[in-house]
Amino acid sequence: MAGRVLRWTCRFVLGGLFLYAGFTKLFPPEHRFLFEMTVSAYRLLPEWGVIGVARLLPWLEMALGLVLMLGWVQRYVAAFVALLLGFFIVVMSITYARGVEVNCGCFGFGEAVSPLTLARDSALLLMAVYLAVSAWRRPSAPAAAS
Amino acid sequence: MKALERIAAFLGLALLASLPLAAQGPSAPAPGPEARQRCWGVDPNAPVLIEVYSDFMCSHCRTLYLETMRQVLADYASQGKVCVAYREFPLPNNKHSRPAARYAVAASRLGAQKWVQVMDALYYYQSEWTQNGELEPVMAKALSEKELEQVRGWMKDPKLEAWIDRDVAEGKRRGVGSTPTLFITANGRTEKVVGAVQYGILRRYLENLLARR
Repeated sequence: MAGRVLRWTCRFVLGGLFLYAGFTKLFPPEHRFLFEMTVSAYRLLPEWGVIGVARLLPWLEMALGLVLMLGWVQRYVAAFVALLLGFFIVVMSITYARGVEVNCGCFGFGEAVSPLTLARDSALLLMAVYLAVSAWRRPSAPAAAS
Repeated sequence: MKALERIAAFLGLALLASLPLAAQGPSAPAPGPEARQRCWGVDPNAPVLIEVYSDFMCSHCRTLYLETMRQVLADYASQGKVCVAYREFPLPNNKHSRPAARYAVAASRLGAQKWVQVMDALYYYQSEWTQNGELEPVMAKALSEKELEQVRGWMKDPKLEAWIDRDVAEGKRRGVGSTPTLFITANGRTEKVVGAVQYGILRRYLENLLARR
């Protein structure tokens, strides 16, 4: 029972945050350009790469958030979310270590990358890892039915 | 368990419904009334105002100025589409930043062209003068002997320090924590952008702002 409540909580918190994160980057439409500038300030990609990431990532975040909340193919989605969060943490850590001052671009705009941002994303990563591990440990629905 | 699922589904729907309200977010602090009086460009009332909080010893400020803002000055400010206001924000740990800022503010009294030349020199030769704090040789690369003499005279003016202090105080009021930080004001809204944005990306944003006015 406690495990199930924890999984539900993790799913809805993570899913809701991903949905929110993607939405704030897309709406209102001028936020798409602000997000491009946020990605650009990381100084990791050429301009075409910045535009590609800024166009794709918000939709990916929203899709992952929605699927997480609906509980579909949870083992794959949770594992992918964990990998994505791990990637964000690595990129932000490298940027922070290089002394590049940038907006995080996590939930809207105006929040600089800081140890607090990294700690928060690490907590989300732990939730995603827990969800993925628990989903892979449980038997899948068809197997349980047979 | 059914009740738990219902509560979770309700919370999920409430979250989805609240997204449009949350997305707009508050505007960044608006510029002070003097911002447009200080801008570089042919039109102080240009539709877009870009304020740059910058430190002369910061390497990302160098990148932003040389790779992005010079282009903005040439392509947008010179056509009256954008007005650019550079604000001094010398960070306390960078001991030569404040003297460099004083030189830049003093040189701005010579006019836009000389100010750009001084900015070019300070940022282009950043790696040289940041070692020893010797700014005069750098200024000599940008100004004639007569102009340099004028600037030397102005350097003693206490108004320069007051100018820089005002910029720093204004920056702190607006939540500037690092450099470079840009405030872009257009269509009644101000956005804060931190970091050295590539020119092509900033241009896309500016074109969008100019198209929507």
